[in-house]
This record gives sequence, structure tokens and C-alpha cells, in this order.
Amino acid sequence: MSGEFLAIIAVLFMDKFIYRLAFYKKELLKYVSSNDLLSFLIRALRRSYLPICYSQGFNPKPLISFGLPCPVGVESEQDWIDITLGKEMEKNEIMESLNSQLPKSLQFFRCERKYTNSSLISDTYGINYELKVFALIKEKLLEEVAEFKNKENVMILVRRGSKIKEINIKSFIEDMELKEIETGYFIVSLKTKKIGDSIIRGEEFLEIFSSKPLLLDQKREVVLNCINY
Amino acid sequence: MTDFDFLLNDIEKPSRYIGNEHNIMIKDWDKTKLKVALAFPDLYEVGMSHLGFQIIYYILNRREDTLCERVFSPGIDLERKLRDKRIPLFSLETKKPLSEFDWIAFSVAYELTYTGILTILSLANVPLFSYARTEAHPLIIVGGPSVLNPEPLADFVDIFFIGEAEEALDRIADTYLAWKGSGRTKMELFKKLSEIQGVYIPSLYETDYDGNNFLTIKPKYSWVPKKIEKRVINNLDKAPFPTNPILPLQEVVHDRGVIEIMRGCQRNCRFCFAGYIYRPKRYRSIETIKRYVKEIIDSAGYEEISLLSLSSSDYPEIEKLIDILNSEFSSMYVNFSLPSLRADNFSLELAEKIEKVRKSGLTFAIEAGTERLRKVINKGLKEEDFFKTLEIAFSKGWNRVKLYFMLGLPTETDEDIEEIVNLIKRIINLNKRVSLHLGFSVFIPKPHTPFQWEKFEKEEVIERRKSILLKGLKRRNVELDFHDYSMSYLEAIFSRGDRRLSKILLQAWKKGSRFESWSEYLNPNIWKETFLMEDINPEQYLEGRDLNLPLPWDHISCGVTKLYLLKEREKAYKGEETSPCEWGVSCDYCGVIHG
Repeated sequence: MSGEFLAIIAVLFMDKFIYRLAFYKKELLKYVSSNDLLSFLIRALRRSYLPICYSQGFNPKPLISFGLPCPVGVESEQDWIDITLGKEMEKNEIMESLNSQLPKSLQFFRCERKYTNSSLISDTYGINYELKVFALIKEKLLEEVAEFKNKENVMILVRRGSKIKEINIKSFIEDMELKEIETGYFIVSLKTKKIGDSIIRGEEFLEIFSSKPLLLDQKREVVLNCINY
Repeated sequence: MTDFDFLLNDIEKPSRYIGNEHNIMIKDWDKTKLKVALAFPDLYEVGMSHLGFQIIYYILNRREDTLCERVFSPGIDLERKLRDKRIPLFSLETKKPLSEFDWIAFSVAYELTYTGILTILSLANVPLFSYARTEAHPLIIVGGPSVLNPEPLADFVDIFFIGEAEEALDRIADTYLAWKGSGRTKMELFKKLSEIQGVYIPSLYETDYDGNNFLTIKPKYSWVPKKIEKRVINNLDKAPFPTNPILPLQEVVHDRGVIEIMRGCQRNCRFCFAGYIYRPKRYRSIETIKRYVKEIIDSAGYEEISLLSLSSSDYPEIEKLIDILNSEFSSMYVNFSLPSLRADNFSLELAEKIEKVRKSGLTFAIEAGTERLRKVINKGLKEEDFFKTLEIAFSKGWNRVKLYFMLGLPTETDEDIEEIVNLIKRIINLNKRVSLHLGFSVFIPKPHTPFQWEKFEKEEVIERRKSILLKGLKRRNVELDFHDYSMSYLEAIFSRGDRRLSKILLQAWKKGSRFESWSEYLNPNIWKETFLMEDINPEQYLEGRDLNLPLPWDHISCGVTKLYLLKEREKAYKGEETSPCEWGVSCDYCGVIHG
């Protein structure tokens, strides 16, 4: 019997129903840090009176988990949470209950029942980014983008916690497109993938340029391997 | 990227400035007659933790003709950016410039936030001094506990509100609206407003000094009240209360729901400002509290609700209250917390009821190390009882204890401090596994208390007493924490200050002093230089005061008579205790009228 099957049996017998939900976070709410967003969503869940399950022990906490944290200042087109309910419910009912407690700039738009305990981080395939940038010399920007596409390895320095690391950014990027929206203004669309447990942040892509374009806006979308397990 | 993004993109904790919280109230600007910017002169995370601030927001917004939006002191980085880019400070709700509001109403809870008022006014492009403002400028109104001595702020403020605003605010708003657009002068508005109990308009008074000494403060006109009586609401149970509190979007100092279960305190601790200014003691009923808990859970989703009062165990039927709340709400995973527990066995039983499973820690403010000194301050805690409480606590599994003390109390000697060392050693002997956290603040003589004439202790004395503690208590399981002396020093000056301090405030603020209640920002040298430059000796505000001389806050009454305070002071020096007051049972006739 496979481990996955055992996990499914365990979840079924525990009277716990895990739902995986997608939400967007836009406009000014992009300035809310991921820690603050967690308590913001927990309180919205509590107000919604959904039958959320709590952990056992001295200090019971609602069973809710996040994926890769969204940095302050970045809008999210799609982020995910897992919640555990004590009863089976209609997916739409869950979303409606939650959305009624949330502002228009943060709403859930997808909900799936989940049958295993796999974590959101392990189920994450990668993150798509959309960077709006301004560059003074268009030719130079295009030249460096072309160069990037042709190279096999592009090493950049990134900060990870208190350490500075050298990574090959090329290995994280599956696809990259550049589009000029008006003179000097460009949209960089990136499809990135997770390697092990690490990802790259959208703005780190700008490290490839000798003269760094000015980052004006950043959006992200977290892509999962598949949604229900 | 919007202009707002340009403003916030490199700012620390931008979520302080975005508004957008759950339960905020946004009203139609064009359809409301009275527009109030409710300001808190400290950072968002401090202001949003103040119940008084949320109460005023609620009271004003519940009026159909009024809108109230919030503003806080911006952090140093945002202040700099606003000035560089010449962007006026804005409200959180609709991002309107403050100068477009009818009132900028400040809630002031602490003397060390006074420079924040100047920061907010200047970023709003509103003249700092009241004399420079015309009918076209917003009216600057200031309330909160600190303004029981309003004088250091007198030059900047149009109207002080003294006392509890729950009822009077409506009358002030109505009076203002009747005046607004009538074409009448500001003085005519002042004349009408000064008829309302609790309203103090400092520009209608003049002061006199004799050298260093404050002499008098008296009305300039015959229609101006000589004495301002603090406003009190008689029925706390019926007073409006925000059960739909704004839920902060970022972590704040007190991140929980709050219900004020009792206002005022019966214990007569002689150093305690709150104990005198919030008289008489009033309660909310169990029924009302229960209803409020339900409403707060429904509207905010808080997982913890604090049952606020100055002395939780003195709430009548507190056990019954806790039992009812536990049985009604435990299935909703709500915890209740009781601040300010007394160090007695009854409090332990309450703490046990509240923390049914985990014994997180006990906190007692015992204030002084000897019974003698505790009698002076009327703390009313016998050493024998305290040890009995600790013994029971240890036997029940509490091993973490926080104790709060004050240094520099009237009549305190080095021996009192050595006794703190002995006391702690005896606690450790009782329980070797105990982990003790000791917090030491410096006693600040506060107006309207029996100690309003006492001195603020000199730094060398406090340092000597600190070293006795540090030497005597070098132990692994004892942690000592001393409140910043220069912070207390400034607080002591402004607590008992007079109008001459307005110029000190202004100059220190101009030199860049900000956020004096944050040790990382406080720069005592700026203040020293300012006092020198303005030729005002700060020591005059720190020394003991002559009992026969007038005080700068004599024209403000919190209901307690000066005679009573003098009597209490005398009893303090004799080491005599005053028993807890209970209207109709045991009354010492302090002067406060019970409704």
C-alpha cells in the first residue's frame, strides 16, 4: 500500500476536510506583510463561522496554512491557502462565506477539496511574475535581454536571510518575455520554477542588467503542480 | 504605479498608512456636515491599541451628520518624504489632506507624545500656534488623560476637553455645527463652547509668574469659567462603546479585543494618576459585557478579549463574570485576559479560571519592597499575604513571575531597596525553579494625586539604587529591567509643567526631537540644549513643591478636592493607610460625586 494511499485513508477517517483555496491580493493590501495577512485571514475565517478545525494542545490554533510568503509591496493574482474544516461543504459556500468578510481587494476565487496532507510549498511548481519597469536606454535593455536568452548560465548575487549567495538565475526561469507598453516603459513577464525549496523573487531578475531598470510595479501568481491530490 | 505607491514604496511598515482595515467607516464627504480628523500623536501600532481612540472614532461616526477619519504620526522616514515632496499629511480612510477637515481632534494619552502633535499640525500645513489660526483653519481639539494638566500644550490648542467625552462630544459637535457657516467669529464659537462642562479654551486665560514660580492663571473675560470641571458619565453601562472595533492590518501593541468592564478604582494608591482622575468607580453589567463579547467576536473575529479595568479583581462578581464568559464562549476558541491583578489569593483563583490549561505567568505590581513604603503609597499589600499567594502559586505550577517596582518613591531610602534584594532572595528560597522578571520604573509625581507636591528623584540617587539591585541580584533566574531615566525625567517635567513649556516643546521639536517615548528615538541632549537656550531651568518642575503655592493645574478639577489630597499626603508621611472606597459603605469624602 503506498504512503499516499495511507495518507488519504487517514484524512478520510479523521472527519477533517481539507480545502485548498486561491485568492488575489491587490491594490493597497499589497503592503500587508505575510505575517499580518495570516492573522487578517484567520480573523476573517473566525468571523465567517466556517467550521474550521483547531490544533490540539495547550494553545489551539486554527488549521490554516500558507504557501510561499508574498513580499510586501507585491500584488498577487493568485496565492493559496489550505484550511481544514470539520465538515464537508460546498466549495462555493466556503468562498462566499469568506469573501463576505473580506474587502474587494482580497477575494477568494477558487476552492478545491484536497485528499492528502501535502504542503502548499511542496506542491508549488513555481511563480509567474509581471514586472513593470522603466529603462532609459531601450537598445541596451533589449541587447541584454537577448544576451540573457542566449546564455546557459547567468550568475547573480541574491540575499537569502542574512547570507548572500550566488545563484544561476537562468535555471529558475522557464520563460521570459519583454513588451514595451509606452516609450521607456516595459512589462517583463517571467515564468519561474521552484528548485528544491528555493525560488527567485521577481525583482532579482533585474540583477542581470548592467544598468538596472527602475522597478515600478510587481505582480505575482503562484502556480501549483496540480490543485487537488 | 500610483502616486501613493511612489510615496510608500521605500517606507518602513507601509501598512501603517494604507487604511483599508476591516470595520473602518467611510462616509460621503459631500453629504456630511462635520468632518473630523481624529489624530493620535504616535505611530499607528500605538494609537490603534488605545481604547479611548476607538471610542471617539465610534461616537463621532455614529452621528449621521459627521464623519471621522484617522491619522497617526508618520514614522521618521515618511515625515521626511512628505516634507521633501511637499505632500500634506492625509487621513487613512479617504487620504484627504488634514487641512480640509473641520476639526483635528487629538487623543493624548501620554506626555511624551506631545511633539507628535506639532509634527501632525505642521505636516497638515496648519499654523502651530492657536493665535495664528483663523476661522478658515481646522479647530484643534485635544482630549485624553494627559490633559488633566493641559498647560504645556496651551499655546497650540484651541479647545481642550477635560474628562470623559462620551456624552459631551455630541453637544460640542452640535454647537460647532450651529456656528459653522454662520459667519460669526471664532470668539463667538468659543463663548458658546465654554458653556459646556469639560471644555477648556486656554486662549481665554492669562497666566502670571513671579520669577521661576507660577503665580496665577485667570480668565480674561467675565463670561469665562474660573474652574473647569472634569466631565464624567454617570452610567457606564449605557455609554456608547465600539463593539465593531477597527481591526488593525498590522501587528499593534495590544492586538486583541477590549471591553472596559470598570472605570475608576477603589484602591487609593497615592501615586496613581488614573486612580484619581477616573473617579468615581463605575461598572458595566455582566449582561452588557456578555453582549459586547458576542458582538466583538462577530464583528472582529478576535481570539482574545481583554477585560479592561484598573484593578480586575475588584469588579463585583468577577468570578461569576468569568464563569459565564467561559461557558458561553469557550467553544468559540476565545481567551479572556484580566490585566492588573492584585497580588492576593483571590487573584490567583481568577488567573486559574482564565488560564485553565497553561500557566503562562503571573504579573504583580507590588511597587515597593517594604511594607512600610507600601503603606506610604497606600498599596495595601502585606508581606505575609504576598508570600502566601506566591506559595500557593508555586504549588499550583506557576513558575514565572513578573514583579513591578518603582524607584524614587516619597520617603524611600537605600534600605528600602536593599529590602527588595532580600525579598527576591526569599522568593527564590521558596522556589528554586522560579523565573523572575523585575521591572523598575522611576516614580513620577503626577498632578491631581496626593503626591503632586513631591520631588522627582535625582539621577544619581536612582543610579545608586539601581547598582544596589544589580549587585544584589546577580542571579541566573532573575532578569532586571530598568525604565529609561531620561524618559521619566521628561515625563515628570511635562506632567507638572506650565504654559512656559510650550516654547520648549516647539524648540525641541524644531531641533528634530520626535517619538520621545521610544528609547531608540529619544535624544535627551536636544532637550537639555533647549532648556538652556530658552533660559528655563527644568529643575523647577522636578523639585518638591511648596504646599501653599498655587499649581498650574489648579483651575482644572477632576472632582477630588485639594484638601483631601493634602490629607492623604499627610497620612502618607505618617504611614497611615486609607481603606478602599465603596460608595455608601466606606467613603473618605474625596469630593467626587457619585451619580
